[in-house]
Amino acid sequence: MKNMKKFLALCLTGAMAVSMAACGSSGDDKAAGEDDKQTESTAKTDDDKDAKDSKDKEKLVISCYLADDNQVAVREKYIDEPLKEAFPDVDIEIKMYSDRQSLQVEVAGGGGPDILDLDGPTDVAEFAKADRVLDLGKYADQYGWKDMFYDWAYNSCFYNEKLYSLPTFFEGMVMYYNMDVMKENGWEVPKTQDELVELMKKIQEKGIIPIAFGNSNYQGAVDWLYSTFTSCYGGPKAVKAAMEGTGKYTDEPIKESIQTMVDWWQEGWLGDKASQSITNEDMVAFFAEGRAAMMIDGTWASNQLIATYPDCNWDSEMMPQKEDIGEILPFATGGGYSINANSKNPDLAAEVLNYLFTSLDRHYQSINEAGYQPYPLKEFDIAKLEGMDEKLLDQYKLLMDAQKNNQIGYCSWTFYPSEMRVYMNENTDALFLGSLTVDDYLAQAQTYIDTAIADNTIPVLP
Amino acid sequence: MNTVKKRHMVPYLFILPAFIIHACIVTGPALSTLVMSLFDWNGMGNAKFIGFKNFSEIFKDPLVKLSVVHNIQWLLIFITVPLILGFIVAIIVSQLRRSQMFFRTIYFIPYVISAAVAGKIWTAYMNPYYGFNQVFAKAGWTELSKVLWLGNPKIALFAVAFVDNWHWWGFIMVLFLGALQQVDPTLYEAARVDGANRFQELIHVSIPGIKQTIAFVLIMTIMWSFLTFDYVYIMTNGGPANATEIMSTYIYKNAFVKYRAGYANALCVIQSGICVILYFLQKYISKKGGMEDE
Repeated sequence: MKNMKKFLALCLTGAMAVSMAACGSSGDDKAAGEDDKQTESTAKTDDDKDAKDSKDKEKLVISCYLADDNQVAVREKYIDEPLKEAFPDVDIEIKMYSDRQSLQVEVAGGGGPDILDLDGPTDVAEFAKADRVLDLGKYADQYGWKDMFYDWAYNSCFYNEKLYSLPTFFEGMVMYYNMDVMKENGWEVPKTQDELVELMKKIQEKGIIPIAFGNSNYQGAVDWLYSTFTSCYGGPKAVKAAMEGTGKYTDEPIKESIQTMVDWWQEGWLGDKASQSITNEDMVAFFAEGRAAMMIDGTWASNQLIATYPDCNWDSEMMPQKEDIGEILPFATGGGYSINANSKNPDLAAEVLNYLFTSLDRHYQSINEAGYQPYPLKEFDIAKLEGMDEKLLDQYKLLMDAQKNNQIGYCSWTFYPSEMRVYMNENTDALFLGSLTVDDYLAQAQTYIDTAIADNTIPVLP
Repeated sequence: MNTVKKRHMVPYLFILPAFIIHACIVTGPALSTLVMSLFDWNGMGNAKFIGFKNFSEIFKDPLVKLSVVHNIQWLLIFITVPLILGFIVAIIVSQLRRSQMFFRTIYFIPYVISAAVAGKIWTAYMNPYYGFNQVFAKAGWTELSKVLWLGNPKIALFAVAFVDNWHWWGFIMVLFLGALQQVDPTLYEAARVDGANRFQELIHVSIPGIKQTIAFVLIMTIMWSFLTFDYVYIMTNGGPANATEIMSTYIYKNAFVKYRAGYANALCVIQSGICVILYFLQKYISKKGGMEDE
């Protein structure tokens, strides 16, 4: 019995040591182990029958956001399959991440995909600070990327004077109108801020929410609002001056625009004084179902409206203008492709990126058929989109015209220092609810600009 | 090695695997949290040693104070409502014979529903446009129908705490019920022979009989109140205007939204310190109050 106990103890200890050794292995085994542990589903571009061949191929992993089956099918058609055809000797894997944290942790651990699909310049900046993404300057020269992209989008990808990402698509903040509600009540689409104010009063009298807004599931959605108000009613010049240090974010035009936003919220025109209780999805539903007449949202919402509310008769325009500023469309690059500093194949990753931005037929097709957002490319020809959904086409024309006519405003997720954006995202609700003053809010925001200017990390504004 | 020494080693060999696992996945990361709290680190790159700067910042950070206050409010709610409710219902259910299992199951069900699911469902119930408010409006309770359960900073924390209570109290009830069933029935018989009524039985037999369970529930509630995260994160994410910000959500935001992992580590150290202090405080009070053996 005594011997049996000893034997058992030794066996258990041995088993433990072996299992620990297995967990602690390094190199490729470790990477494989991490892959197994990933809870995120993984979609491979290769078929099962190609699995054997893929073992001999170079491997390249591209991250992307978690998507449903339909979105995956669309992505496979317009990204996975074309990549597979263009790079037959490379085993390209598109790996889905349910959230930014999993990707961040993986990259911090020295692993992660070769190409990172990040949330845009402010997100890329954090990876750049940590030296987790490569300076793409060398590849930009090699492939001529500087001349490919619109300057405003390309320049927004610089951090500390180095290029760390390429803009995956561009978007803008617009005002959506439920045209059925507008027509039923005999309301005209307002052209000026004053007309909009008068219209909102009429809408509210009718018991309809003037502008739908909700951020209970994502507090940061307030950046859609303050980006729109500061750009459209404070003016892009004032914002640019603040970011360049020739003005202050506390200057009167910006202060007035933020005050306007707060006043509208407190009047119940913006989110019915309940925006903290409803979600983004509720907000779109309220607009589509006619409970709200208007909605301030990004151009990305058009796809959601078409897919989820096909019967909704909507239109989108730039925010009604303030007379001395004119019509402005706040722009943003919605995402950025970066190359992981841990990548074993950075040259190949750059080649793949270059393919994505130069295979324009594939890109037009993906916009036409699947509602993908356009890359901010100079060569982009809107005429190639004729025949697509009219509303979407109108919106793309709006974006292109605003770009051409230099009616560019600034969205915080592209043009603000990331600390400033985090602060504003967390504290705008406090402004609405009266627990923070506009002066204190702007003064604090200005401190982040001062720090970014001092550190030479202030984003470049067009 | 003599036989006696060998015999003493055998138990240590048996606990060695568990000890190694614990050291690797609990002690190691805990120590690394302690170390990283002394660094300026964004969670990805190289960390820069800054000594106790993170800690000095914590003591000046108004959001930390606000979060701790919210945690204390949370603690006060959870140390009273679910315990009293769970205890009373356990007493009632323990009197039942045939239907005890039915009620035990019914009250326990919310505990097995995941926080993510329950949180989302209750968020929808509390939506002012299609939740309970519509029912209140139809019932003619106009003022009640206008309440923004999750949107009003004055009540949002209590609204979330209500939902967590809904999920939690059934578990407490089952713990108390199990403990009550362990109380020696002859003690009740003796009390009755001595002329005790139901209330006196409760005070002099039931409560002393389950005092160790009460002490356990108290200590767990105190610590969990400071570590809670799920319902707040799912239902309000610390909003509106930080009205439901608690230590855990603030730590999460610093680590993953603000990219301030070093500061988040320092907050974790403070949070753990508070829990340890509360643990010993509760142990001391319990012993003094006769809830636990000296």
